[in-house]
Amino acid sequence: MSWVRRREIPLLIFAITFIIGCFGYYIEHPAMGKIYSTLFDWVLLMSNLALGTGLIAMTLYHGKKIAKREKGYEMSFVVFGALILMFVSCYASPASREYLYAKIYTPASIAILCFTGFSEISGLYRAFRVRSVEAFFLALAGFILLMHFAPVYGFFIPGVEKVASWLLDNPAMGASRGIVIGVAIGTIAIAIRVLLGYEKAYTG
Amino acid sequence: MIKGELASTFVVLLVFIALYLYCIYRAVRGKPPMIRKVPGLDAMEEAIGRAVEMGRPIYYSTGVGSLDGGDMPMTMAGMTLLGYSASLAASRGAELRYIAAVPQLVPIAEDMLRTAYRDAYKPEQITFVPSQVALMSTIVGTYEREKPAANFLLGALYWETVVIAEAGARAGAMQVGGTGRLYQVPFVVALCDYSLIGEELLAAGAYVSREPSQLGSILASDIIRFITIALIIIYVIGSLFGVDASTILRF
Repeated sequence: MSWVRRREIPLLIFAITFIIGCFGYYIEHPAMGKIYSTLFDWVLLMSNLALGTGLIAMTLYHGKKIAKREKGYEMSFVVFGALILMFVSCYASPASREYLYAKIYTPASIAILCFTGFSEISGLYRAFRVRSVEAFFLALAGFILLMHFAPVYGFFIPGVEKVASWLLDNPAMGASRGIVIGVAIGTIAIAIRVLLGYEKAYTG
Repeated sequence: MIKGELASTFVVLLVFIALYLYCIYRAVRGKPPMIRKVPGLDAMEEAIGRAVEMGRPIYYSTGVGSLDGGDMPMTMAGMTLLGYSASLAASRGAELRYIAAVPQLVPIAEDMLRTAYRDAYKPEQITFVPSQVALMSTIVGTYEREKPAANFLLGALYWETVVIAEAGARAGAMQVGGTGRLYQVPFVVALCDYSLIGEELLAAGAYVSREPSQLGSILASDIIRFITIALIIIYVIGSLFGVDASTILRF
């Protein structure tokens, strides 16, 4: 097996960056501080480099799709059109880039968001239907939150907001912290498993 | 050398790491701990069987959580379960499709699906959409058209949870959801048939692999959890008597 494809390489990179990241957070030393900040500079550099490779990969993918007339190849023309338009507008006229972003991209995103809004409301209806004990508590929590945020409840039932606040600040907070602590402990476990090479999901 | 205000947490972290290493060593040496059944993980097999019977695809999503920051462990657990469910689906002859919203996850998923399906792998099994809005609308449309038999929603989920789970429910899919993100847990519990809450998702890798080394880390996590509970009880009792017990961990 070529050394580039060996599973040990990503593991080694993870181990080095994990140790620097972990110890750099706790240890105060000029050398460690410099390594720590250099590492984060590398992260930024690699992210930007990945954008470039992503652009190449996307161009190749859509180019092949058009060349082979694969299913939905017409949309690849739209991708190229949008890509060229945005690229040219960035260099030729920043004002037109702002226009494209604010007047075309943002409204289009919001339109799609509204389309999914239907699903959101229907999902909430399904979530709040009392068909199990968990759903009952979720519906109860939703009702309590309504009492907390809608002043009309306080007008008709004085003091009800205080009950809602107490429930949110005490039992709900306690339960949520339990989940947070569990996740934090699980995070350490995953980090150790990755460090020892048992958890290999990130290598594919 | 060690930052003053972080000294105690650093020592606690080192103790925890030592405990993990000991438990893993002990498990590898022949004393693997028992792990309780997690219905959500067992249900994945049932959902894949359902997909085979119905001749419909299985859809998998890890949400918009990436492989960095606090999302990393949940996304990694989601990817581990993607590998597991892909190999299970491939062995049973079901088609699993993955919808990614994070570019870094695409090559990982591609490698997993290629390994699982070998020659039967099709590039269309992975769809990449570049944003949360696109992910939600893609899923709503795709589920409506293709009526998947099963929908797995596992990872660091954001507010796409309710839309994806609702689309799955409308399509009549059997749903398994799981996340450790606090605000999405209620939606996963209410909308999915089976749910993995918090650390259940993070323990998934160990559960499905059944490797003694991984099970050892679960034992260490349980011990740390008991220590944490004991410290909370001591703190509460101390507070009742006017003693600030949190000073135990400050040195």
